Amino acid sequence: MSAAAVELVSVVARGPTERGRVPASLSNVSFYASAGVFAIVGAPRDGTLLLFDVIEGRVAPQVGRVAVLGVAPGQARSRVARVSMDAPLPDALRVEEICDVAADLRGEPRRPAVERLGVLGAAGLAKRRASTLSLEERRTVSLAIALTSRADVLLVEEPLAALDPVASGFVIDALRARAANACVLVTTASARDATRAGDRLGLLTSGMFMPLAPEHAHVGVGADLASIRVLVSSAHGKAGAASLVGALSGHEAVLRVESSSAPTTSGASVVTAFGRDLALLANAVTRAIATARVDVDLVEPSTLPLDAIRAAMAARAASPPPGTPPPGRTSLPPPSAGVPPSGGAPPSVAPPSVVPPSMLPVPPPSAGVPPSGGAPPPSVPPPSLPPASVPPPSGGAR
Amino acid sequence: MIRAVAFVPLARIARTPRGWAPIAGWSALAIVAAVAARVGGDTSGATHVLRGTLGYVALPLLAYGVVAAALGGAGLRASVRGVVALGADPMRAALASVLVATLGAAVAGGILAAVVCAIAHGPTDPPLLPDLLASFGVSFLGAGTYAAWFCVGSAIGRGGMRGGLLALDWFLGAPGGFGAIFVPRGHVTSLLGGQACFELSRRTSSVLLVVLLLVCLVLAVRLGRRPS
Repeated sequence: MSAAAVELVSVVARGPTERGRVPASLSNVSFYASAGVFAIVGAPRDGTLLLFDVIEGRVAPQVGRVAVLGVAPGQARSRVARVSMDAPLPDALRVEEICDVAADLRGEPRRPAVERLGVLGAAGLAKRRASTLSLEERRTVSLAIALTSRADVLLVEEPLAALDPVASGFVIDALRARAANACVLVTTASARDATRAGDRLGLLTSGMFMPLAPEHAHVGVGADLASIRVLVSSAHGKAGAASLVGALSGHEAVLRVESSSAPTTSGASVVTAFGRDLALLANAVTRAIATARVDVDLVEPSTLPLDAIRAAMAARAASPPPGTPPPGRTSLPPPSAGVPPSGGAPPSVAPPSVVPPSMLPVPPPSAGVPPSGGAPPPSVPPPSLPPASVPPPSGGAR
Repeated sequence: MIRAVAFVPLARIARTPRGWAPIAGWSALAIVAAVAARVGGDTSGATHVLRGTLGYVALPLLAYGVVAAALGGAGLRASVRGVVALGADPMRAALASVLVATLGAAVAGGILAAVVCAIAHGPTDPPLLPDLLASFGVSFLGAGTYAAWFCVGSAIGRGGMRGGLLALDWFLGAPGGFGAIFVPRGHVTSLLGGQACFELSRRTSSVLLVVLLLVCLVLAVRLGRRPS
């Protein structure tokens, strides 16, 4: 699947109005996704559910173009699988019957439910009635059915919600394996989950979409981005810090441990552990503190810069700079900030100035040519897009 | 695909004993009335029970119960969410649910009317066999129309309008009134031997009942296919 499986160009959409709620909206959202896991950070009120509704063809965009597998979204419905947060299942059926119905609906050959559910270790649910399943079990069944279907596009809402680190790793592995031959779009309100699951990242805040650099997918891969700082109480001195370092060093989730030689003003010693996965690292640090029997003054995880970006985007959406038109398409940054004038098709929203430069997508060597070793950054439209939609260099924001 | 999506409402009806209670209850009411007419020596018991207890009370509430059982007590859109999440087309899923509910109610209503007719049949009623067939046919059509009518109510909002349409049928359905043309009650009562609906002939009433059935089916499917 080399071509864009999902392609949105300058999409403006508005969700259904519900009593007492501001409807979610999408403001000029452009991106494309092909094989791989594309994680989008955002909450439902930011438009994540609406984004999936648009891709699924349930909601038509007011402006812009949506293509799924090269056709209109409604025509590709049988090739799109969606796993919702509430994971609705036909209540009167047993799980094994649901697997059969799902296969029939997609025109696929039936396979044993045990085999399908086994990808997530949930074969034991096959005989249960859907009405007896808990929310987590329903989500597991839905995800297993989606993963084992022949759908070319998977839309998954909050895949790691309410899962412990071990189960999270299981789900991420399954998503990655499926993403080898499918486009997996994941939405999550957790920046950490997004960075753990996604090959590519995007932010959706108040309907505005911003792609992020590919290297920010997978926390810590090659960069040790996940870290936890521990302040060992001064009562233990350097011996306590050394003991903690020793306990941490033996854990597989810990890639590296650093111990500051100079104590802090309070006399506490600083030990910093680095790993690939923040959740597993936290688990390791907790165990190490118990093993080393040291008192700690502070345990501080590394702050993911995604949160800072989201906060900045939300602030910008809530209070646009003086002279900026009201929200909607016209609330985007002025042309000088990297967005072409109306008539063009800006594929992404220029990030706020507080965004760390390192988080921005890396421009491709040339338009339409992906960087070597991975998928092109989300801000670069596929070659099929008209040249006018290729974004100009966003030098102002960078 | 229709077979796969129709499996879900069928399974709901078959596997939810709680949903059978209203169906069994209203059927029992009509049968008890028929038995009472026979025991009481009513010479035209079938006519009285069919246009009375069955037409006014049992048939609409039986259809109401069948629709509730087929949709799992929820609205139409909520009831098809499960299969739509598995990849079904929302319109086809809604169509399958509405058809299952409509056919289920029609068959149940037709059988109930035939049973009532057979039990309560008196000497001055029309000959048994033609009366039996006519009762089955009219109740089949009437219960089906009622079910489609309630499916429309189930497709409005979160499904709460099902009861609203039942009330509307009661208020507007008095056979002599103009409003009876637009609801099932007036036509069903007329066809079961009661007062003519707004002075319309029975043939016209049966045609209007079919039209009402089709309009309700289309409306329910169109409303039910929207995302919930």
